[in-house]
Amino acid sequence: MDRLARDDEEQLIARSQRGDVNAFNQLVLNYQQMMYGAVFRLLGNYDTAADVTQDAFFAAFRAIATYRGGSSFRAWLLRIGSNMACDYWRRSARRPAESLEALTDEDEPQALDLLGALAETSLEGNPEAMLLTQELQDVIQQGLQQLPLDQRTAVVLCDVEGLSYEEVAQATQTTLGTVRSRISRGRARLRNYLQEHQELLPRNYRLSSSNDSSHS
Amino acid sequence: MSQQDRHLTTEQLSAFLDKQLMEEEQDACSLHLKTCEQCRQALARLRQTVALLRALPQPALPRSFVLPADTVATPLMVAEEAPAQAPISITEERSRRRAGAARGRNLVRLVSGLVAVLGILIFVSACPATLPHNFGAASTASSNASSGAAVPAAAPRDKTASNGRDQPYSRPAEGTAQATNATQAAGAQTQDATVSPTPTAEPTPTAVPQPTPADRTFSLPAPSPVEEIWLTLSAPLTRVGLGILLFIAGLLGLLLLRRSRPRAG
Repeated sequence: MDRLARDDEEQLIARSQRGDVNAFNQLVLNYQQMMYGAVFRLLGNYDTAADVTQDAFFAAFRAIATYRGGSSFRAWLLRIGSNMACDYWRRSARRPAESLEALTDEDEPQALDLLGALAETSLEGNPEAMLLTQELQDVIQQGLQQLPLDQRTAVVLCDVEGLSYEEVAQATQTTLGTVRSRISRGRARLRNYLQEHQELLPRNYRLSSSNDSSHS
Repeated sequence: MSQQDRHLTTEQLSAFLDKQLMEEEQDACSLHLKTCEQCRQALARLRQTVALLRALPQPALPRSFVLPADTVATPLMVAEEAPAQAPISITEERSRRRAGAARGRNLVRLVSGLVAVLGILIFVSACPATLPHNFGAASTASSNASSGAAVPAAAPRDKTASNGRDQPYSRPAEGTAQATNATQAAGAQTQDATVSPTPTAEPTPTAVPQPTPADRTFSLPAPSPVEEIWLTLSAPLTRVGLGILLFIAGLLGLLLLRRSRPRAG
């Protein structure tokens, strides 16, 4: 993705802080994909995500004077965006369709499931190039939505949007230790969800028998 | 304790994956994973989950989220560099005006006080020429002059002289706190100033109406424009009049300000 040079970004931020909406819009163009993506992964609905994203950018422009240089600007933006998304989630009557079942024993050796096979075939070579089908994306999204909000936010910011632990801490206004804990629990829960709901995956992704163990 | 007994927790594995552990702990986990199949599998599952998350594509942007060009920031917090753009509240404006007015008033007060003090100084410096006990100490010429020039005005002058003396002490009751400090300090200085030059200044005012070359040269060694003005001012009547005028002007300034203060408050 095309990233603004740091100096350019600082200039745009400074101009925005003086009320220059055109300068701020340059920042919007640069960060809107990230913001919309994060908000969508948090809420799971395209229209709602668009509304919240727009509100978040308005709020960011109004609050831009509070941004202190030296900290991550994208973390600052995502703090506003994720806060608004979480507020929306809490306000709405929506609740995850499936309640989370008891976590399986982590230590139990499991037969390699679909995910393992998928990962194995795709991760070899270039993990970045892994393409997920729409169905798989939907299952992952459902898995995200059944996470508690704080774990969901941490996982989305870190694993989906690629923020560092420090940036996640900044965006969630917590400590590194809390970030670490939420990320690990969110990942574990999602892993369990995906393993337990293989039936939601298309037939050809399911494995009937276990394969050899995965290589890390 | 064998390594098998210490399986890694999910949090450890997760942090290990992101290289968020301290170096010793990171190395310890590496070591453990070499020999523990269980933990290796757990790590593998975790890694897969992360890989899937990272592989999630960004949803297509439905539209552009740029703000309308006429969007005005109604700031939650005003930027220090742009006070002009921030709407100034009414109370803030009032306090600004009040601060400016207060500064103006203070300035006028100071000037009035100084003017009054100057008036006193000038007035009092003319007094020695007319004071009764100074007549005896004055030279013959000056005594003639003082008796000649000062007698007609002696009576009122005595009153004013005593008033002039008392003024520095009574004024504090009339003046404001600021003026009080200024005049008290100045009043003390005035008293000191008049006491010391009295013997030397005494011949000066009296020398003017009846010029005595000896006194003049004694009291005015260097002729200059300033000295010429001083000569004019040296006339006791002039100085008394000027002193009184200045004093009244200063007093008026202070009193008027005092009256206007409650209104502006």
